Amino acid sequence: MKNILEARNIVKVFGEGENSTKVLNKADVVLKEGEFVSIMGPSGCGKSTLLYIFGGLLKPTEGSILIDGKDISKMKDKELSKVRRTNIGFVFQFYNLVQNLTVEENILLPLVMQGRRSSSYSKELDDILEIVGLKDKRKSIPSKLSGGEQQRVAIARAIITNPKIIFADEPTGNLDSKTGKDIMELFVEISKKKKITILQVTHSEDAALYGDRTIRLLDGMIADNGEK
Amino acid sequence: MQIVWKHIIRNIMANKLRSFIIVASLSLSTIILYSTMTIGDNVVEKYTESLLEVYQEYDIQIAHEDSTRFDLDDLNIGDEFKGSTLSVTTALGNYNYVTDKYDKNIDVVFIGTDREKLISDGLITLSSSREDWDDNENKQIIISKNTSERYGIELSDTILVTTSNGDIEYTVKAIAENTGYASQEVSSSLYVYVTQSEAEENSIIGVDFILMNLSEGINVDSYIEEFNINNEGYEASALVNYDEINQSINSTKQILTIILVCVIGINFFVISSFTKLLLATRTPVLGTFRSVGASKFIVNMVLILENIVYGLIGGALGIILALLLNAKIVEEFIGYEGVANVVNIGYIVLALLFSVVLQVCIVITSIIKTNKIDIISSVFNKVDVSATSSWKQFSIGIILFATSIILYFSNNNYNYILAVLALLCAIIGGALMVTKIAKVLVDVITGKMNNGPIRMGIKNVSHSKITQTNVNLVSSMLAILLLIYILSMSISSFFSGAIETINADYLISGMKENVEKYDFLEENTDIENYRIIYFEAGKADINSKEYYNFQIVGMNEATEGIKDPSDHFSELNNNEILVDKIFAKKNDLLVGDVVLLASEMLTEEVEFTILGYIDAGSFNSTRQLFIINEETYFKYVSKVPKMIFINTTTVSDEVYFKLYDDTYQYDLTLVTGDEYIGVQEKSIDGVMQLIYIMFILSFILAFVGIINNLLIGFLQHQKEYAILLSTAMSKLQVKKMIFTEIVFSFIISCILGGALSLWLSKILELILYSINIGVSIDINIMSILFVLLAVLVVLSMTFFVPNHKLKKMDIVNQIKGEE
Repeated sequence: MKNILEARNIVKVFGEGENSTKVLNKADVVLKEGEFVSIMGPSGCGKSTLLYIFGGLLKPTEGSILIDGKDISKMKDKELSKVRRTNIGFVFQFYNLVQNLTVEENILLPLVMQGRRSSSYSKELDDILEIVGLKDKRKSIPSKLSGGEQQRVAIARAIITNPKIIFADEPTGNLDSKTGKDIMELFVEISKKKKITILQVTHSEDAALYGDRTIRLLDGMIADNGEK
Repeated sequence: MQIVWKHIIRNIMANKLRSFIIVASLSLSTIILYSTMTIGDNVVEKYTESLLEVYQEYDIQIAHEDSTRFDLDDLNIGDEFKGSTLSVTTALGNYNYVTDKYDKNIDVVFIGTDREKLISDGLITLSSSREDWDDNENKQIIISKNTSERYGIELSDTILVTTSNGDIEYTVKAIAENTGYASQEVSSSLYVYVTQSEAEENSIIGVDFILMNLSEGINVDSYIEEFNINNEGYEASALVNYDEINQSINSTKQILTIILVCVIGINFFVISSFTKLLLATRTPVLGTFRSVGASKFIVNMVLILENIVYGLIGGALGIILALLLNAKIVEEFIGYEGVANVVNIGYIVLALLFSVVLQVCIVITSIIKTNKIDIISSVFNKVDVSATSSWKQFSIGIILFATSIILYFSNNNYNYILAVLALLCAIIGGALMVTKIAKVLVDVITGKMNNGPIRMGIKNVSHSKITQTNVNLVSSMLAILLLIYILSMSISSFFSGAIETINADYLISGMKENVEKYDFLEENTDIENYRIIYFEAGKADINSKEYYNFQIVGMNEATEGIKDPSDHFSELNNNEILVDKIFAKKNDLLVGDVVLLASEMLTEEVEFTILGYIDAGSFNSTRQLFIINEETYFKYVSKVPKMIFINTTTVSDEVYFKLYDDTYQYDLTLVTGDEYIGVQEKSIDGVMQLIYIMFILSFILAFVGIINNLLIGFLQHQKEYAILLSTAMSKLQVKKMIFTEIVFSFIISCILGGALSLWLSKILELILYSINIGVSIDINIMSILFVLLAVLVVLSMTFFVPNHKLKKMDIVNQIKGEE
């Protein structure tokens, strides 16, 4: 299977001079198409930083990141935004939905940012609402939904553009265990059905077990890449 | 795009109060801008309308330069125009007006012309009272309703008029409405419309003129120019003089521009502080937009689009209000009644564009700054809410403030643009410096204090972004507000000065003869003393530069408020003039300069030498005047006084009525000193009221803005308060801390705003001088301190807002972060 993400020698330093902290130290990660991978590690080990560097939300101090063959580490804002719009989906712990937009408007937001007509995507929208189980809530606003439902909207928003990879930062961190389990099952379903690569950061061993493998991070370095 | 629009509209609707304040602020600016733009058209329209009513289709008036008689055939105007003319000959006679009470001679003004044409061209309209007459028949006259009522002359009555041909009896054959040409009958003379030949016969001192109707498409100015070349000795002038109108409304336009600048200044602080807060609360949403693939450009565009919507709503509302109120605003400024409300599509579009551009300009830096925050900080709302006071901002403020000082002191010629620029630099520079100065003050004060809630409260003033916004908002607002207060105090003081200067119980005007003719001045025993004022006002050319409403004053000593500390009056010889020092500076007139003065007020062009400068601000607030001695005045202007100030032994109704009878006999106008001042005050009262309304509205908007800021400030800090309450402080201590923060921020604002206003008022004086309003700014420190104290008390009451919130706060939920 082809590599969707290839990250080499990723170094990230925050601050300058005496106040600088090296959060990531020469981390190498490769993710294949359709793979569902979890990253685990103690607090402050650099898990989320690694995820955001892969997603182009943070710039690495050193190293390169190829997403579907394109190096995003040197890209300017405009190119990077295009990559995020077309190849990447994000799911955050606190959902990050736009509160004054309805469920379906939140889901269609990435398409709107691409300048596409949202009305042309009604079939895709229906399919995705079916997958995430929110068909009857499409006109609701986020504040009227439960945490689990909001996270489903966030996942639906992440997959509407049919990205190559989804980055999820503690997607079950704000949910109870039953809802967390449902979300993990939804990720597995999406990964299998749509062949989308998923990389999640989690503190939960249970959640990590849903993935094909688990990368363990310690003090900014890859301690175990989970490959058997 | 539909989703983006929905997002924008819902954002605007989500916070109705904030949106209302932004829209109202923009509307206010739009109203003033629209009025400033249309004031010219409104007045021109009104002026043109009234002149059209008088002169109908006629465009120009032709007369001989020496006011001598002439004939249409003497003119080289082309045969095609001869049919479009109306020749008029005026002549004078006398009528002995006798009633039970009066027996006096009044002037009769014969207007000799083709009366049928006068009526058919609509210059006069006959009322229903009409008897047939033969237009070629002499001794048959038309009079206006006004004349009929004033002198009790009815249709068919006969009047005996003394002419150069002896006494002639005339019969009233028709009465005209008081409209059109008849509306020009301004003096109390008796106007009669006769045949042209009769007017010519009746007086040898008559003046001829011809009204001419130019065909459509002929440019009036070009025609006049061509006429004057082809007709030496004659002068054609436009019946509608746009130059004169424009000059008369120029001051009003400039005042409106100053108000616009000040209101925009206030709006800038109100809108920018709101925008900063709006953006701060929406940072996570903007981060989410970026995380789903929106570039910085797209996010900028979404935010700009939202502000364009604000601009469009504010502009549209402002235009609607302006269309409703515009005529009233212009009337107040100009002092005319019934000003036309001109709807100009071009101006409407411009005003709408202005509102949009203003809103976008105010918010653009905040938008760009917000978008510079990295995506992660935006998504997780990790934006630092603690305040920073940048040296860069302070330095720019210092530079702008210094520029203002330089512009002020280098503006020796009272240049309006430079003066307004100085005001702008001072307002913006002052606002930019406030944050740093406040921080320095806070550091100095807190450095000497022990720890405690009061120290923490004061420290918050320089550490909380929201409090800093309030300091900025209040000090800038206050500076402008105090500026208006100082201006109004100065105007009151100016009028008090004027009242003292007039120092007369009664004023008489309307004289047509030398003062000796008015024997009652000596005979009326109630008159204790009187002063005669000689001046004329009108258009004048000084070294070929035109001035409208220019005064030539004949005076032998410094009276009537004219200040002459160097005692130039004692040395004022014939053909020498005294000039107001500010007018002289503005127009580069130096002592010793020889100026050529040409005016219809003078019998001939005269060269005068400038002897010295005087301060004429209290005599004439425009300061546009030359003072010559009385002998020179009699020689070149007239021996007829303009005004007579009378002081009586007592002030009573009896004295008034006796004086009224005296003056009525001579057809003079009598007003009391109080009435005279009242008229002057009324002329400025309307303007001042409008200025107050504009500023009160702005202040209310800013006040609501401050409360809103306090609420948001509380929400941003409530977790911190909850922690303080749970770990170290009692509720009373937290209250003390919040109260200190609020009150101290307003104390600093009052100090800084007050100091800034003093400088702004100096610049305002310069601006007023530059637009010929000679009101000296009078700063009364005690009253300013009183206003500052009052404002401080009102603002401090806003403490009740966070205090109420604190009472209702759930500490546990705050600490857990669940609220």
